[in-house]
Amino acid sequence: MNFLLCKFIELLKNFNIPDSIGILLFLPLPFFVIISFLIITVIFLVLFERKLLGYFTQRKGPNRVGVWGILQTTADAIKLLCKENIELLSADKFLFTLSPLVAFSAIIILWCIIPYNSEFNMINSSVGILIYLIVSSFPMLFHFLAGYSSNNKYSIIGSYRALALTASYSVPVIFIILSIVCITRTMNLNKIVLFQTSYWLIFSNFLGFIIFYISSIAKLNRCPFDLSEAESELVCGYHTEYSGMRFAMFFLGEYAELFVMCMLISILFFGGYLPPFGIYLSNILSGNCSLCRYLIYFEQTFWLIFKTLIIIFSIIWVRATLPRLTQKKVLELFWKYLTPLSIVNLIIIILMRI
Amino acid sequence: MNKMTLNLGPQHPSTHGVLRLILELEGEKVISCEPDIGYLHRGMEKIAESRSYIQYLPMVDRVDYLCGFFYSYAFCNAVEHLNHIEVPQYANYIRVMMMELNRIASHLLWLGTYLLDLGAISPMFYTFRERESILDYFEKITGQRMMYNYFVFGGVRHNILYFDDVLNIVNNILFKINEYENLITDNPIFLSRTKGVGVISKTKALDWGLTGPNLRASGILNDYRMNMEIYDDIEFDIVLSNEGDCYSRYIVRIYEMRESVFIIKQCIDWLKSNKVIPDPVKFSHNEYQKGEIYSFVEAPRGLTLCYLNSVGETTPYRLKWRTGSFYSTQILRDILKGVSLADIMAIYGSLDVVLPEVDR
Amino acid sequence: MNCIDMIKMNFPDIRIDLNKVETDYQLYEILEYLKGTYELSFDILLTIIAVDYTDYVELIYPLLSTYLNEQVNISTKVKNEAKSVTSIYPGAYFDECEIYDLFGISFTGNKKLKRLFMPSSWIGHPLRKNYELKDTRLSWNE
Repeated sequence: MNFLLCKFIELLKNFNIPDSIGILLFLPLPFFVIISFLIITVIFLVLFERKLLGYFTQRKGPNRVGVWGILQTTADAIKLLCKENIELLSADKFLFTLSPLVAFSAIIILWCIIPYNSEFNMINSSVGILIYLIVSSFPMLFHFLAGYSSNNKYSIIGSYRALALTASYSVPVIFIILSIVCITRTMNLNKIVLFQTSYWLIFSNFLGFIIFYISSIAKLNRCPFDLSEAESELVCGYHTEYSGMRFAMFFLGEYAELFVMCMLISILFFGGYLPPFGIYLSNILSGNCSLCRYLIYFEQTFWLIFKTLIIIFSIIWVRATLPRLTQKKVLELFWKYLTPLSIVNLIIIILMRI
Repeated sequence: MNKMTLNLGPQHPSTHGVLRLILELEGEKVISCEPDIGYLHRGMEKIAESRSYIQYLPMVDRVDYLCGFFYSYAFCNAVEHLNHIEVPQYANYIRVMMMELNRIASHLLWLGTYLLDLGAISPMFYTFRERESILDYFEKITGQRMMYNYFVFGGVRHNILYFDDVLNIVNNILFKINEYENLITDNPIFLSRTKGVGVISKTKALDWGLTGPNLRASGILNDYRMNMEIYDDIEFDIVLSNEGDCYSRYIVRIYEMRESVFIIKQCIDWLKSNKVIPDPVKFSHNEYQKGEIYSFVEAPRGLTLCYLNSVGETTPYRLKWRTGSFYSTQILRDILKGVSLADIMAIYGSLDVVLPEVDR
Repeated sequence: MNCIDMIKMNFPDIRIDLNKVETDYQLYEILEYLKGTYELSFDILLTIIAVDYTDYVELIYPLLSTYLNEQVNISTKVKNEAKSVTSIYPGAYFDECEIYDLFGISFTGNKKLKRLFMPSSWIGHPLRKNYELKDTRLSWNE
């Protein structure tokens, strides 16, 4: 970040603007970059999923709006934003409106924690992973509140299911993250990435990866753990009563969360923004010119997104294949198998690191 | 704990039509369930009383739009018996072939939507793809995809049949059924959702009047095809399963599709070796006999009865449809007690209820 | 021995028609006998058919035995009231509701009779022969 700040101030100096104003002006800039990146990503992620599901199920997916249906989700999003907000008279209006807002903004904070390349990391905290854990529990809490406040029986059942699920998947997630912290001896996400320069953490923590992968599918509320919005049982779960803009917040938030969670998986286990074999393509291509330094940043971001998309692909593949679990089975899976396994995994890693 | 009354339906993603289940819930546990039907009641039986037999014939396909041939057959058979109309053997074989193809199409649709109820989205598209091939064939022969109006009193409307098409379709389906089984049958999540869920014991199944695959999944050997004349020269096995849970209902239907393919192949063999074009049946529509006819057919969703009461007029005096789904809906009052909310759809879906057939 | 002969032996009052067994007052007992006797075990009540003959209504009970693989129809004539058979065949519940709804026959012993298809406020019983079809609610008002 400091490097970018220096560059920015240097740029402003050409226009005779003092440093202090430069620093002030720089503060919101990364945020805007992230927000625009988020919105573009989410819109294409929805399209990506629909296309993929189409191909998995012998269809073409969206192919009418724009070339290859590329503008389909943009059109959908615009439609959702223009739609009328309908709310029940008996709903708790304050919570009903607040929940999607908070849930969505919590996800934006998650996006700010992620190191996109070695320079661009908006919240570069020494306890980054802890912040991630705390903030990532917000959306689920507000999903519960959304279901509670909409005064609909399907919603409230969905909310209870979501709460029960939260309690079960959080424990293995925390233990796996602890094991990673044990290996890397840092909670800073950037340092965790840099730790993996020689080898990726998936090789030293494979069991951890499997458990984390399953838990994050549950955390993302996706098939086969999508009980809280099980369409065939609960219509839409907690967001049954939502429409228009508020629904769009939940809907887009869900995909934003999917993307950021998969980014976290690639940071924790696949070396984040590091290239697969430690060699930057831009180094080879452009030699030692001054532009090369900037190209590397873009390449790092590219690698991060590339790895993330592969993980997202696998999650969509799971969705296309598996039926939904029942709540009883989910609780059984997490409390009887994954939690003890993650504890064992943690103990083994601690013993190895002593 | 407080009880909660939940109205599942009439508009709900997975009630396969408009069924309303009034559920009494305690948490996620169902205390009692009261099915409320009648949202699709079209008065099929009343309409029959004001229409001549010929006018009513196109309507019978609509009793259950997923297996129209069976209802056409039941009605035609009733009228033929009433008026002593002889049906040529050739037409009987065509009827069997069409009905069995229809049974496969119906079971395929059930399979896809059942897996959709359980939360798996892909199998639906796969089964619809194969069902599509059957519907395309029906369209080629009858001009319609769902409401065929193909069986007429005394035979079938046309006997131009493309046997090679049928053979290709059924061979492909036989191959695809194996594919579905690879995807579904051993899937641990599918097993955990269906094994031991919604168990219907033998006595319960009989008491509540279950028939068809649902009854055979409870371990009772009962297939009305054994008693039907047109199946006399055809060999087939009856699929039985003993557990009576959702999984056995699934597996019974899967194997029934294979049996149907077997029957269709026999029909084609017979039809190919007996290329007689029978004369169209002469049948005056003014001389209707008096009498009561009970015409049974083993439809994909259970035993179907067409009761026809004629007093010699051009319209039936009373016509009654007995359909399998009506009783499959009714049994929900009993078997849903004590199950969890998530299992409702697993159980209800496994019974293969089609609402137009329930309400008629 | 034929099952109809067996019924005739135990219930001499019945009349045997072409394809049904007619009884005046012993319906409940016959059904109980047919279900309870092991050699017969007519265990499925397929449906209940009601036919309106204007001065009386005939109820036909088609039964199926999965044991013998045979089918028999028992019929009885009623006016406006009949005895419920839900205690023998629980599956008769919906059928009785349907007949109550469409024919207006009430079944004694069936406590939860309700209109099955028609709305609860509907006047008249549509499958009766004297049902007025020119109901204003049936015409489409545009």
